[in-house]
Amino acid sequence: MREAGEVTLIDPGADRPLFHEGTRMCCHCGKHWVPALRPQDRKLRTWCMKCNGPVCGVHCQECVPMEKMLEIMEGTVDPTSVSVGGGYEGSLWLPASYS
Amino acid sequence: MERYVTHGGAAVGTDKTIINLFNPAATPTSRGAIYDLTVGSEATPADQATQFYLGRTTAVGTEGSGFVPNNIDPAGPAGAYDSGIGTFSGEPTYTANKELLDIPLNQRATYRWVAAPGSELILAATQNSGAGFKSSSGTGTAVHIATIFFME
Repeated sequence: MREAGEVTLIDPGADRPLFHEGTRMCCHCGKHWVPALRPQDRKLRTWCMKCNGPVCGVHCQECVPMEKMLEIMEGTVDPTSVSVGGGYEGSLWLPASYS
Repeated sequence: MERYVTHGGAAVGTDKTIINLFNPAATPTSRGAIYDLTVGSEATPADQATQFYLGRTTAVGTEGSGFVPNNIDPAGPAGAYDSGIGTFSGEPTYTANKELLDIPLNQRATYRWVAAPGSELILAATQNSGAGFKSSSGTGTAVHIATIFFME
């Protein structure tokens, strides 16, 4: 999966970055997150079958693509005219490399 | 698109905004796109933990001071976006469940996030809307400095 960004964590006592990891980006709200390093830390991240992209969590489960969301925020699109739902695969758990 | 940078610092704690980036134009013609964020503390190293997040804002708060973002190109034009920094006496209005980055950070560490091209954090083109970077909770009160690079 294509990385949407990267995070670097630097400690003054270390001679190299403590942490260097790629981030994923929610195709609905635009949020970035670092895939979980430990399975027990994993949150429910899923996949939108309409947008064909990762979704950051259950509060983004309705399919409102980011461009549409921005237009709603800008007042150029009536939110009641936006078709939502149907793109969320709620029961899908992605493999570790897709977390 | 032109590239700009803003930076600010403030003591962390519960809901303490460090930078609020917003577009003050009545009818904005462009969207901002944040592509780089760095945060770290200038205080004496200590083991304190802070939860930061970058979230969408829809109204400005009462900022400590203003800072006009600099164009990275010295010959480039001034941008439309403005930023509030310093110690806020009134917090900007954050949109619930629209956090764009969550950053749990030890005071000793420095954190940098960079977007891949095309995956920047896009801000809505609405008056006084934008993004705020704040500490939502923390065990200490050390001053942290943040730098945000963005395009418009």
